[in-house]
This record gives sequence, structure tokens and C-alpha cells, in this order.
Amino acid sequence: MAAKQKDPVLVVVQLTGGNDYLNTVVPYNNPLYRDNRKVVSIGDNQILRLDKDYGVPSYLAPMKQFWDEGKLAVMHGVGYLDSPRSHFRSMDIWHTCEADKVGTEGWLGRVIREIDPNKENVITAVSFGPCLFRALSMPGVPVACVAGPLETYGFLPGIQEQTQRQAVLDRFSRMYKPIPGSGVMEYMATTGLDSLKGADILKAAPGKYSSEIKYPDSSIGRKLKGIAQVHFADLGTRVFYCDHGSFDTHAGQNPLHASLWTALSEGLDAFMADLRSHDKADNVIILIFSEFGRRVRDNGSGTDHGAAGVTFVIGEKVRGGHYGDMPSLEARKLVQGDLNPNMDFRGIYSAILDKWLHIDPVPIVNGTYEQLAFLN
Amino acid sequence: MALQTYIKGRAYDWSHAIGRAAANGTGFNYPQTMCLGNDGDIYVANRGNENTFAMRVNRVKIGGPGEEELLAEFFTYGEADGQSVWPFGVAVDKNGNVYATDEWTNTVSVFDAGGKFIRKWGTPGSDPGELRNPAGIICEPNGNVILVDSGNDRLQVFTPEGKVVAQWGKSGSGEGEFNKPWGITLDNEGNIYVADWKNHRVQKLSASGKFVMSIGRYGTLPVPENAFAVTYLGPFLSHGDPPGYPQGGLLNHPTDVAVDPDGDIYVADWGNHRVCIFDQEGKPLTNLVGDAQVMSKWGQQSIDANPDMMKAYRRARNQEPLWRFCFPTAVDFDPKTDRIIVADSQRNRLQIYQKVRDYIEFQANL
Amino acid sequence: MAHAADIALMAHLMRRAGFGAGRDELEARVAKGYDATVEELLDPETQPPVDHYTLLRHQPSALLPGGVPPMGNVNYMYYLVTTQRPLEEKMALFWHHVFATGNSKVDNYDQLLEQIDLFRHHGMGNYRDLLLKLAKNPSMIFWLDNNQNHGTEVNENWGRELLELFSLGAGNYTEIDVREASRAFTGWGFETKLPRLPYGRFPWKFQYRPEDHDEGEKTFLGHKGNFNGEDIIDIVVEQPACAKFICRHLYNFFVADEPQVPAWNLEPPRDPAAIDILTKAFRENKYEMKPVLRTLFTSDFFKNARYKHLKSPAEVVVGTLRQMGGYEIAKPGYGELSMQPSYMGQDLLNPPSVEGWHTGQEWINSGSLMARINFVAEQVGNTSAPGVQSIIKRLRAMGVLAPEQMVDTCLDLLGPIEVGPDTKKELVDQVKEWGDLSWDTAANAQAATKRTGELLQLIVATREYQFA
Repeated sequence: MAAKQKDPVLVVVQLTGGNDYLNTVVPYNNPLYRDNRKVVSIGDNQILRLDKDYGVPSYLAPMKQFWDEGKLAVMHGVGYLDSPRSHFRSMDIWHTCEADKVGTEGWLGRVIREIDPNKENVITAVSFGPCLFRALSMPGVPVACVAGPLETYGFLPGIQEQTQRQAVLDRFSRMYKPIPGSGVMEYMATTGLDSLKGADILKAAPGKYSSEIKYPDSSIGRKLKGIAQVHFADLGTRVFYCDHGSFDTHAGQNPLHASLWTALSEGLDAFMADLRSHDKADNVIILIFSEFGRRVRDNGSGTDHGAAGVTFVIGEKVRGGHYGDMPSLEARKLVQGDLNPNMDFRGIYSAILDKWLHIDPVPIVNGTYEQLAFLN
Repeated sequence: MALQTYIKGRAYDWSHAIGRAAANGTGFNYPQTMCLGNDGDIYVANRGNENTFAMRVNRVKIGGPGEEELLAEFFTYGEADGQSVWPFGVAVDKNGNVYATDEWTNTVSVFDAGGKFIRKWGTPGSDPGELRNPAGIICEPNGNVILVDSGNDRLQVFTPEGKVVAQWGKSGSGEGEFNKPWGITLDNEGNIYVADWKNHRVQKLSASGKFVMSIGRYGTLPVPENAFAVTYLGPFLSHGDPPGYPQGGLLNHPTDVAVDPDGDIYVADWGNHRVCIFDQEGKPLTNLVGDAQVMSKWGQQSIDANPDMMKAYRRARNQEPLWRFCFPTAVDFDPKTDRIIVADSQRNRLQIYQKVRDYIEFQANL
Repeated sequence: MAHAADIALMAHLMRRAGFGAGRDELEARVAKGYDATVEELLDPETQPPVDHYTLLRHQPSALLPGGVPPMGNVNYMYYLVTTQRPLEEKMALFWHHVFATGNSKVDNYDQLLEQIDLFRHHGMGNYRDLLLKLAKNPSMIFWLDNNQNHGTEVNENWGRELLELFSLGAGNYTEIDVREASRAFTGWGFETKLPRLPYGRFPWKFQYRPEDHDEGEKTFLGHKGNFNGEDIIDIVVEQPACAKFICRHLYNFFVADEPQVPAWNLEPPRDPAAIDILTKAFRENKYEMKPVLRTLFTSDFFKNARYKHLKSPAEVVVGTLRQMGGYEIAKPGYGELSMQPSYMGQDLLNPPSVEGWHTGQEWINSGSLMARINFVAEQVGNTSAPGVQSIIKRLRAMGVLAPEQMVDTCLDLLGPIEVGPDTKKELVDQVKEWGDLSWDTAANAQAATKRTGELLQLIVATREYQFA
């Protein structure tokens, strides 16, 4: 399938560990916010106001910038019914859209299968991280997992000396000559050669990249830069995935949350600037989610697992603004001490699938969910 | 199990617990050893883990129940000076300086009373002055430190600047020999007590390192039918399980020892989940098994932030596992307050007992 | 040469019944003899258990690892890498594959570790007893919702999977049987346990609630009675289908790759005669596992099944670490190391569903192939690792090595591994480019060491290396 330059691209940034909703989008005028958070609430003088009700901590300054440009959609109260509040299970639910039983097919795995059913492009999906996120998992669907730096992605990264590496990889590809009819050996041959090809293609992306933008020197900064490099190389990649964390701030929340979001915001700032300067921003949106929000009341040092959270979508074609309402902080309206979700995450997925990727959302998210109009 | 244990003229009254599981801040992350400070405080060396990398030494003020405060946190995870990979031992000298050992980098780091890094020493090896898996450490009144050089199965004495003065002991199970020893303490006369971990005993040595006495021998509970080695947390009792503890005086991988001014010896009997108390001749007296029936202050903060928790506690039929020690790694006796402090390591809390003298139970309480 | 054949056979046995063995161990075992080795593997009590106290000294958080990796994986990896009871540990992994229970729902790594320990203690005992212990295992009860299986509101999840995945296999019972079996297990639950905040996890404990049990008559596989759970298990193990199903699992895990389990009631076994032999042993010995395993490991069909099993990620990682050496202490970095099988597609203690992992060829996809090769290459490319040093020592003793000799010896010492003629030619051609290797001077030895590391990396990158 020929890579069409302006095919819509989705970048997913997973905030692993449960990002604290109330300290990310702060209801600074609501007295219940400070009443419940004697230790971890963000001080008034450290809040950048979005409007009269909500603000973001100063360490989300670049996000505030996207807000002012009208390119940041803030989804309030996101979750699903009966959250188990456990990392694994919650993340699985976000990844597989199966809330009632254990699912094994990732929603993005299904997307890739839709986009590229004949596996013509082995790098339709590229994930930055050592393991295959369940969101991308689907039998038969190849995903390139870039565990280390993009420049050394490929087989036998321990052999880096140029001529030796070339010799060894040539040897590798000769050893993997497919023998038709040899069953699993043939399957491995095609898989190995596909991988090698994918690696060759991907590895060339940094070499073709040239930019004035400086990314922050952090893990998320490097991942976002890698995404930009692959995107600019026009290799036909439609889905990018990476994660950042750990947001599981049970203890010592304030400095930790600040440093995580500082790294992320600065990374996103550089990323969007890079995309814009190369005129490659129009067909990209960024989805930022976490598996749950955190408790309303702090535990004296941090916050524990909660339910409803906040999800962000950023992009040139995003209609910025608030979507949905922050669930009430009043004690009688909480569910077991947590904010009651009032927006199903599958609605956000559905809008992205339907209005951005132009794919029927229903079989992917296992149902029909209300779509909000955050995409132009 | 009563909150107060009374035996042979001693009475032990459970006072309160301090702590909760926390990657930093108000709580602990697998205490490995601890050492009383000079000012009603205690230093705890936390081993941490490879998920949150919560390695550190923290300094906690101990008062009455609920009066604890976190005073300092240092020796956190990292490779730079003042940071740690596998924190193990911690000791305080009379000036308030803190010595902490790192079992992986084979070093001893020195901090001032405020937690500021001063210096470190240590190179891996078995020659005099070299270290292999240093564990517990204690400061002598003269300023020297005695270090449990665990991987070399010996003790080494250093000046505060790290110049080696003496080595005592070698591998083995005989008198004055060690097998992967863990914790160390001194009594009022300068005698040295070492928890000889894989020899399942405590050894008492003179101030010049000569063997004096061996305390305890190996013994453990048979593993109950429906519990398995990996998570056997015994002896917590639940309906139907065989109750009881190993006979007094039997130890399973003891990790630490403390001595009080009366000469009583407290041994952290790690693998048997208890503190064994011996008299000064080494005769077993009784055991402490953990009695934390009241939530600690910081623990209560977690409960308060999670309202469904209280309900969850009430639903459990048997609260007893909550009270009991789970692999207690360290024990200290504070002569200023007559308190026994136990690091209940797997539960990330300290349990504090009062050694009660002249206690009379009120008629109204009987 | 007789000796080479013995070494190859022993390597095959150790790869399958354990996690492989280095050359020194293979030679020691050959000296004892094949049958004597099988007996030793079947009698794990003759070897010391894993020292979990030493694990807890260095990594105390491995006891109660909570719900998030990697400390639960550290605990399991430590056992896999340090065990001196390889078959006991391999059988525990076998049952983990079959009775797949995952942390994504259980959310208590300590409880899953306890389940694995159950398999260690009872996995080579009696299958019927194991099934009963499994039915009472709180992690399994929670995983398959049997704590929500009430006399007034039957939940069929456990009842179904017991029959479909743990004993009989699809097609050997009806939906009515599933219902009746589920009715028999009503009331099999667990006590509510103390919550995890703020002092960490506490264990579950099985609890039978007679008041929640359906006391009515059940009709199960043609039998009638007021059955309780034990009765269902007793009826199930007597079925010929049960023996066939379990023995086919043993064949798939230890002998040669079968198609995936969902296809088993459609596709016959690749070697029906072998399954019959195992089934006979299983039934004659009243479901005792040891006689079946003895029959399996001493059979010709096993001995001839060289390289017919594609290594699982656990086998790739554990086999490599054991052979390389230096991982006997749970040193810093063990956390990341323990996650390696999950990067290759096998998240131990967290299979994706009760169906377990798809094995054989399905372990391989573009991402996992690269992860497998790169991990092993990184390990064998580290020439100072004890396992590599021991190979180099033997190479040095051979003096100057011609390219063919070099390749043959490395293939031999790394395995022994057999490769196809095309692969062999590529390896030899590569070494030819380097010329003869000698160890006489320091400079030559250094060059030869470097080349050895690179050759080993190339060998472990071959397709053949993916098989055991």
C-alpha cells in the first residue's frame, strides 16, 4: 500500500500508573479541592488559569499554551462502570475495550488489521518501549517495538562497528533464506526478513531527519523525537505508541507529579513545534490517557487509586475546549471515595476511529458509544 | 494474645506502631537494619525494590503514639556519592554522624546529622580493609566503627576515616566463626553481639573480638499443610491452622540483636517471625510476636484517604495476621525510654513495646 | 562417536526436562547415565531446595510483590535460574501453562507465586489430588469467579474451564455437564482477606460454605448423585478423554509442538501411538505423574524428537541465564532481567487468558523474534560471562582452529546444536573471513575472544537456535 502522505496518524501517549486528575486539571475555586487535599493540593500562586473554574499547575505550561491556541481538548470524568482500581486490569480494559471479561485483542491491533489487512507495510504501527502493549496486540499483526534508541534499532545491536555490522546482517539475511514448504522454518524466515527490512527502514529515519528543534533530554523526550523522525520519513506509519510514568503517586506526590509532567509537557512542546516547522502537523493527533485517576482525599503524602480521570487530545485539527464535566467532589456523590466517571473512554476512541481514522468504531470498541465533537 | 506479656519479672506492653509502606516520605520500604539516634530518633536503612527504587535511610522521631515525625531522608537510589544501590547497615556515632553500608557497591558512606554526605570508603575484596557484602554496622564509644563484613564472614573494625584496625572471625560454624552474619550491637561493657544469620545463632564476643558465648540454635515451625514456602508467613494464626511457635531459644536465620541495661538479649528471629528474648546467660525467656492492633498514624492517613478500606478491614474474619510480625529484620532497645523497637520489615512498620518495670494492673482492668 | 551421541541425547533431555545445561554439567550427567539422570530428575527431594531466605535478604520485596511487576517476576525468575530441581521447576511451569491464571485480574503477585509453589510441591504427584488442590486454590477461584458461584445463582466459569481446559478438552462433555459440574462446586470460595493498605498483601484462604452449596441431585457424565466438587473430579479423571487430554499436553510441552489447544478436538495428535503409550501409563498408575514422566523421558519417541519444540520465552531466557552463569544472586538489575520473557511475549504469572499462551510457532512474530535474538546475543556476546569463559577455555585447549572446527566446536559447546547445511555454510564462511584463530599471543587471544563472541551471537541468531 503506497504511503499516502496525508493519511491520518494517531500518536498515543500512555500515562502508566494512574495520573492524578485533580492535580492536572485543578478545580481551584472549589473549596472541596483544598479541604480534601491538605498536603498535595497545588497552591493558588502555582496555577495557570484556563478559565474561572479550572487551571493547570505551572509545570503544565506548554499544555496551557496548546489550550490558548485552541488545540487542546480536555475530556472530563473519563472511565467506565465499576472500575477495579487495579493497574493491570484497568489498563487491560483501556487496551482491549473489554470491561467484563479478560480480552486479548488490542483496539489498535484491530485498527492495524483494518488499515493494512494484507500486511503490506510492517511498520504501520511503531511502538516505543520494550514490550508489546496489549493495545497493539493482535495475532498476525506486526508491530515494530523500538526498545532502545532508534539509531541502533535492529538485530544484534551489540555489533555496532559499521563494516562488521553490515557483514553480520548480510549473513543473517542469507541464513534466513525461505525454504518453501518447510513449515515453521519458512514462517520464521519471512518473519525474520520482514523484521530485518522493517529495522532497515526504521533505522534510516534518524539519518534523514534534520531539525532546529531541541527536545528535552528525558525518556519521553527521546521517544517523542523518535516518533517525529519516523513520521517525517514518510514510511506509512499510522499509529505510534509510547508510555511515560510511573504516575502511581502514592507517596511524595507533588515533586514526582511535577517532574513527570514537566518532562512530558516539554517533550510535547518540542514535538508539536517540530511537526509544525516541517509542515507535518496537520494529519497528526495525540491522545494522552491514563488507566484511572486518583482518590479525592490525599493520604498525607500522595494519593491512592481512584476511578474517573482526565484524557487529553492535542492536534491542529482538534477543537480545543472542555468536554464533559468534572464529576462532583461532594462526598455523597463520590463512588467509594472516588470521582464518579461520567464519560466512557470508548466514546473517545469511537470519535477518533470514526472521525479521524475513518474506520467503523463499533467492532473495534465492542459497542456504540457517544462521540463528542472534539475533532474538526 | 494479650497486649502485655509477663515473664520472670519482666513485663512487656505493646505501645504503638509507626509507619506504612511508602516509596518515599512518611513510611518505609523494607527496613534492613536500624540504629537509635541520640535525640529520641531512629535511623532506618530501607532496602527498597526494583519497581519504585525506594532505597534510602530515613530518620524518624519517636515519641508517644502518634507523635512520630519524619525528620530526614537520604542515601537514596543512585550511583553518585551519597546515594545507594543496596542499603544495608546504619549506625550513629555520639556526634550524630551517620554511617551507612551498601552491600552491592561494598562501601561505607558517612553523613552528618543533617544527612549531608561527608565521605565514603570501601573496595571489594577479601584482604584486610576490603569488603564483600557489608551488612550491619555499629559505632563504638571511642569513635571506631565495627562492620559486619558479611560476604567475608568476619567483622572488621575501622577508624571513622576508614582505616582498618582489626579483623575478627572467618567462615565456619565454630566459635568465633560466621556464616553470612547480618546485624550487630554492643552492650554497656563494649561486648559485641552479632546475629550469625546462616548459623542460626547470636554470638557474643568481648570488646577485643574474643568469643564469649553462643546463643540459640536452629529451629523452625513445620510448614503447615496449606501454606507454601514462598508466601508462608507463619506463624500467623487462622482458623484451623496449627498454632504455636517453635520452642523458645530456637532461631531461624536471626538478623539482629539488642541488649538492654539489665543484660537481657533480644534477637530478631527473622525466619520465625518473632523476637526471642534471652537472659544474660543465654537462657530463653519469652517471645514477642507482634501485637499491632491499632493502626499507626501514617497508616491511618492511608485509611482515611481510602474510605472503603475500613469496611474492607471489618469484612475480614480474622484480624490476627495484621498484628503479627512478618520477617522482622531489626530490633533495638532504647535505655532512655525502656522501649523495644522492632522493624517489622515486610509490613513496613516499626512496632514498639514498653519494657514495664513495677507494673501493677489496676483492679478495674481485671 | 558414542560419547558425542550421549552428550547430544543428554543435552536434549536437560533442555526438555529442565532448562538446559552447560558442557561440564552434561559430561557429569553422562557419566552417571541417562536412566540414572531421569531418576534423579524425578526425585527432586534428593537435591537442595531453592534458598528463598537468600532471595529475601537481597530482594525483600519479592515476598509480597503487590500488583505491579517486576518483583513478582524476580521471585519466579530466581527460582527458575537457581533451582537444582530442574524437572520440579519445569513441571510447575507446565502446570502454569495448563492452569493459566493471570495477575491482570488476580492483582496479587504473592498469591500467584503461591500457586506456582503449589505446582512445585504437587505437580509431580497425583493429578487427581492436584486438581482438587487447584479447585481449592483461592487465586484460581477468584480468577474463574467461583467465589460468585452460589447455590441460588450458578456461575459456570470454573465448571466450564475445569472440563474444557484443565481435564477433558472440548467435545468430551455437554453444556448440561458444565452446568451440573458448576452446581457441584457452589460454595467453594475463600475468606475475605485483610486489605492491602497500608501494610501490604495478606493471603487468601479457601473456605467452603455449605449454606451456599446446591445440595440437589446432579447428573454428570452419565452419573447421578448429590455430587460435591470432589466427586466431579473423581468422575472426570476416570474418563479416557482426560488421560488423552493431559497426555497430549505433556507431549506438546515436553516432546514436540502440537497445534493450539482449541484445535485439539478437530486435529488428531501428530503421533497417536505416543499419546497411547502415555495414556496407558497415566491410567495404569491411577494418575500418578512420575510413572508417566518416566515413560515419556525413556521412550524412543522422546529421544528422537530432537529440535521439534520451539522454545518458549521462559526457556530462551532461563536457559541462557543458567548457561551464562553469574545470576545465582538476585543482584541489582534482576528486575529488568525478569521482564525479558514478557518482552518476548510470555509475561510469566500473567498469561493473557485462562487459555494460556499460544505456544510453538505462535511464539514468533516480528517483535518477539528480534527480542529473543537480541537478548541471547547480548548474553553470549559478553565474553567475560562464566558460561562464555568456559567455552573459550575449551577452545583454547584445542590450539589453532580452522574455520570449520571453530564453528563445529562452538555449535557443540553452546548446545550441542544442529544446524542445516545452508546455515552451516554461512557460519563457516563468516569465520573464513576472519581466518584461523589462535590463542598463542595476548593479541591473538584477544582477537580470538572477540571473534568467538561474535560467532556465538551469529549462532544464536539462527533459526535453528530457536528450537530445543
